[in-house]
Amino acid sequence: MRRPAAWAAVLLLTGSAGAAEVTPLWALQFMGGQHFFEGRSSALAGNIDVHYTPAVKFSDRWTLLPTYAGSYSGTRDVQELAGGGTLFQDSMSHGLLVKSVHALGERWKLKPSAGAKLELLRETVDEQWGDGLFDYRKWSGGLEAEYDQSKNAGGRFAYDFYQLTFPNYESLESAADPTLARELAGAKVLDSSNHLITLGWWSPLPAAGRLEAAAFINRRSFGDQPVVKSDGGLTGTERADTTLSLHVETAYPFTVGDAARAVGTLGLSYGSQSSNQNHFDARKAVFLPNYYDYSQWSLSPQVSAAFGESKWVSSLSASYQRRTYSNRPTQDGNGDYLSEKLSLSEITTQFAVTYPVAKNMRLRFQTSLAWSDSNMQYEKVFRYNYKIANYMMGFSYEY
Amino acid sequence: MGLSNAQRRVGLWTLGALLPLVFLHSLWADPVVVNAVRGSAEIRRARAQNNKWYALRKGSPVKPGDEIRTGKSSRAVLKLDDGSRVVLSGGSRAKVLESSPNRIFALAVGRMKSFVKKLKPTSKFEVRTPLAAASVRGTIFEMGVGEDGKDGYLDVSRGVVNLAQGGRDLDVHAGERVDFMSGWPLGDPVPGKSSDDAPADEEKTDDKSALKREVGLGMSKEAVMAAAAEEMRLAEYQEGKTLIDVNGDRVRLEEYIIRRPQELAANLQDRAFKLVVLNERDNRFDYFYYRGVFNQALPDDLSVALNGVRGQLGAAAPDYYLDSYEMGQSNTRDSVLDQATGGHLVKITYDGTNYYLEDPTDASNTRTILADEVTTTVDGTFHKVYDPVGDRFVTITDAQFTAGGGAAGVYDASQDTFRTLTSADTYWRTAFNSYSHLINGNSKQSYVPDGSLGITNILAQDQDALYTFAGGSVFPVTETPSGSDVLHNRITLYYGDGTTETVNTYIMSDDGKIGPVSAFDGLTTGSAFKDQLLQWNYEQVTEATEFQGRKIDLVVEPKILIKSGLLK
Repeated sequence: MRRPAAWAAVLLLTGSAGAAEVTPLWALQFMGGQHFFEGRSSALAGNIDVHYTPAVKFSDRWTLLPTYAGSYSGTRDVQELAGGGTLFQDSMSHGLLVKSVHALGERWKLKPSAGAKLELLRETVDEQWGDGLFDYRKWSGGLEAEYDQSKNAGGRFAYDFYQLTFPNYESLESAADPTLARELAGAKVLDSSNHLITLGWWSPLPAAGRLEAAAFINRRSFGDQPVVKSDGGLTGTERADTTLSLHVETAYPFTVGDAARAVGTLGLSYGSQSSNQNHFDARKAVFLPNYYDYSQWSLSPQVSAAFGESKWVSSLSASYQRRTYSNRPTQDGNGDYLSEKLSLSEITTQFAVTYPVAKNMRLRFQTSLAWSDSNMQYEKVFRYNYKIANYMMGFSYEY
Repeated sequence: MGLSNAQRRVGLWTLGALLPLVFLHSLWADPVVVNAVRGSAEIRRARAQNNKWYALRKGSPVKPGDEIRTGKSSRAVLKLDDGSRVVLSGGSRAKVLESSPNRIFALAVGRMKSFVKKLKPTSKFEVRTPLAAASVRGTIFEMGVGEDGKDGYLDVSRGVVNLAQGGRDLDVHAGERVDFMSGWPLGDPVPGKSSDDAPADEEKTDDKSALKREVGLGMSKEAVMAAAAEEMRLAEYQEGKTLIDVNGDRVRLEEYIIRRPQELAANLQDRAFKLVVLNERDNRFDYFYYRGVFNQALPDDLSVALNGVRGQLGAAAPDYYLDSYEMGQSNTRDSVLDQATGGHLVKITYDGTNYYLEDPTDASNTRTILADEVTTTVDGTFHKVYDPVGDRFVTITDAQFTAGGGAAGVYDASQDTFRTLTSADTYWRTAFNSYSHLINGNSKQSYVPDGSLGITNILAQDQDALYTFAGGSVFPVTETPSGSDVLHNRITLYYGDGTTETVNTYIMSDDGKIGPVSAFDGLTTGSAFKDQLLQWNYEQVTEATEFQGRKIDLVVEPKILIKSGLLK
């Protein structure tokens, strides 16, 4: 690298000299509770989430945001209990994301970022931290450009590259005797390289409303997961998925006389996945092309309100989500494939109340109920039809 | 220590000289001056002829007609002579219309927050925007105007602000906010978000909000990435690749099919497939495989051949049947191996009393087997029933027989259902001419055609096969070690050579709990039993003298065992 270019790079990374102003940002939440699934209740357990960002403002035009995000989860929210909650004990994650925000002129910001994350999951009682089958590591780097049309309206465009690796997960096939494995069998079948494009827009609406929209396009390449062919063997082509996610949300504040002040939000999402991977069900000797392709949409209304002079804030939310697999047939109770395509519907409701007990600190109680419904009747290895409830209480602190 | 008289005189003189100056200064003082500037802010003087913008400096007076603009992330604070303050946020432009006694500002774009001291009755404080005007007598409020001047808001922190637009006006109270847009009437007040923080704190709050927003944007992308990992884990669960076994250990399970197994001779490869089931636990690896060689080359759609592998109902003989099979279980060190060769079809017909077994390749090779042989002893009446599908006899009580026990359950592909074999049916199954069961390479059981019968193909094992057992005999003992009310069975085979082979079988739920016998209450037919069995997992633990204390521990879905013929 020539010297001027090197200096330019240093300046881009370090910005102009000057006294730096550090603003610490804290967000801490502790919640404890239990869930109930088909008459059985989990043990009481707690969840902790910590976010800490010592924001360093070097100048009006350059701010550095190093963020640590950590969590421990001993019980899960109902949204996380897919499949009825089997095979889960607890998890923790540690992530570091460094984001550099550079103001370019009056309207543009450029935000390079880099991050790393480690998530550890213990799925049996005696499993040690770090031995979890689905432990994963993530490395990411990206660049985002933001355009502020006005104080309350703007847009952003970002490209991120990230790698997901599952260090403890290797296919059994690759570990078996060679005579028991298919040709071209991969070992690190879950590891992937991802290209993520993000588009976002936000804008005010009449009568104090707010609109936010975002689109995420993710191209995922699996380096060691060969595509399955129609006879159950493997091809030399590796799996690649493309996922699309669109989300629009509006929010409106309103009052009910002097009795209540409230904010209502409504979110609408659409998502889809397209994959070249197929599936061969060895149990039924049936080939299922494009097994992972699906589309889904969801609707999420929420109302948060404070009543009269009370400091309690109550919120009621619900979400309806429906996913349809375009090529995956449903199965009867014996696992025999039917002509209908697999679809899953999920309804989640939550009621929560918070109360400020000190500056920046709120007590919180929430209870949730979720229904999962599907045309899939074969549930021996995964639950598609179930109800689940939970309650959690704790506090949050934000500074 | 007190002042001297001379000192007092000097002091009084000085005070007497300064008081008029202070008084005069208060008369001449500018009503609005710049109190603070942060970032870039500029002023355009009304009296200047060149219409140019100049840098705004702290202490500069701001006269009526002067216009101020602030750069992005900048701020200008104006101090009024009564102690009131006006904070102009970044990206704003405002003009002072009047400075005394009325204080009237015009906000063209951006945000202006006003901290207004109690006014004299004869003066007023007003902020006008292109769409609406707010007037107060002592309060804290903020007004904002969009860049195109077509929308704006009023957010009141303290006191009451009168907001006027067109012909309408309304009072907006502390904690309330009103948004207005061009062409829209003034809406009702809604909860506001402005605070009554001092300007410095307010700025900090703004900065913090912006920082939090940046952090939040980063976290939203993190959530998208985390969802990708979650999706992959979910897919593994949906495909049933992880289960919990009877000991509470996680078992990873992989099942797949290998076409054209390379270990076979080249001429057999097109006719063969291998089903592999792999189990991995924290400290062990077990596997099961079933390799079948058919009578002809297999089609691309393997299910066409496999559908009839255990037998087929109908007058027409199946196109595909097994020529041989090998079934292995291992913990990578010990092994159990079952091998069968000489596969051929057996045609079975039933007249309600007897089963008639025929060899399609040899018209002279036939058997007639009584379907139900009744015996009565002091213990009651028993039925020795022949099962033509499994090629075995079972002895059941009269009550069990009356309830339908012992009836031959067959799969009727035309109706896609299981049913009992009836007198009008023709059924085809595959029989083998030789079979061996080996543990660590030692033969424990085997059979070949009974040479004394002069036949080539075995039709019914009980009549046509000649068995050999290790040490010349085998004695089975069955137990229910966990109690008679749960589905844990043990069978121990005592061979004549003094060795034993013990197989513990568990029917268990997804989370590893042994199923109750009651789950199978009322099920009398084989097909109903299988239907129920398919809802559970199956674990089989094999121990043998040859294993020297080790075991083979397999968790397999019953469907695979039924298909492979291991479970009848």
